[in-house]
Amino acid sequence: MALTAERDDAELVRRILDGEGEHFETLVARYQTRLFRFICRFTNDAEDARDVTQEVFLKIHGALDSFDPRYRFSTWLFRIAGNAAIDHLRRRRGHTISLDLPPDEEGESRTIDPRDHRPDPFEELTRRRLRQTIDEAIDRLPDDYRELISLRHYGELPYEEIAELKGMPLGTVKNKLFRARQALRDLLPPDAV
Amino acid sequence: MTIEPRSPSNESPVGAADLERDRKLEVLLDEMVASSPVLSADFAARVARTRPFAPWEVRRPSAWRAPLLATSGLFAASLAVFFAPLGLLSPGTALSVWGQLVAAALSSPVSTALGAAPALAVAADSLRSSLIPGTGFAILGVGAAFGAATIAALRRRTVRVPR
Repeated sequence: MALTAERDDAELVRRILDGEGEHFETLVARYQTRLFRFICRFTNDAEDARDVTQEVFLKIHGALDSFDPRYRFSTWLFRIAGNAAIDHLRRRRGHTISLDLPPDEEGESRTIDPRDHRPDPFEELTRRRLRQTIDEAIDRLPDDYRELISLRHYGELPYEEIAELKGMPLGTVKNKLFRARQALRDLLPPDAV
Repeated sequence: MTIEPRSPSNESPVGAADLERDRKLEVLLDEMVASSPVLSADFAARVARTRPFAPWEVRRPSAWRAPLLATSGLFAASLAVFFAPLGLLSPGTALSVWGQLVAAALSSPVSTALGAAPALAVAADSLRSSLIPGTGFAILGVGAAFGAATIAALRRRTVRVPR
């Protein structure tokens, strides 16, 4: 199954390079969700993640002729995405948005209320809170654990591809991911899992 | 609070209960990720539509086929339009307008087209009294083709996907 996907990816790249540019859309559609979620883990902002995802696909398209078909396309894509997300975070660092509005007519200071006032079903709220708790817990993990969890669960990469991407033996990847999830569980409330 | 990675030396043997908890966390993570926001359905189409020319595309000879054909077509059409009525139009005006349109096609399309506007007005005045029917429509056709080519080129340069 995975082998077929790799062959398909390489075939699609070959066709695009041969002038069948319409296949680029297929390539984007195939990876957009996984890539977007993976990048979202870095940016913690859907708008930013969408921009970075788009930037990554355009970068990929520009450098498509440098893709080596002996390797997996997804490995190449996620390596570029990881670098782009880190670059984005570096650019964003120090560029914070103030929640303070200019004083009103009576000189009183005002602050934007960032809460979402739309009514949400209880279940959706619970799920959102749990997602936020998990996101915050992942943020507190060491860098290498956080990256492995992002690649495995948000990028949905198989262990073999993570091993290729990180240049690690397969056993080490499996072991480290197990340890990463163990560390994550320790950071979550007992009733979460 | 952050935690340090565990070194192999302080790892404890993995028990069945640990594996079960790990499996549950995997399932929970996958569920959380599956319910997280996704991109709009037309994201791929928009990225594909608005991508700029890649360096490898520009280097490929086949990528130049369409622009070369379009340029040749415009060149030939402009020659036909501006040299056919030479008997009625003064050769100086015809050469001036034709030269500016060729420059527009080859260098800076928008600014040169604007610069050629006064000369085109002169040409239109001259042609209005011309006895050759259809010449004005031919000029309009060339102008429309040129405009369409310019718009297509400008759209292709757009990099950002509209939100």
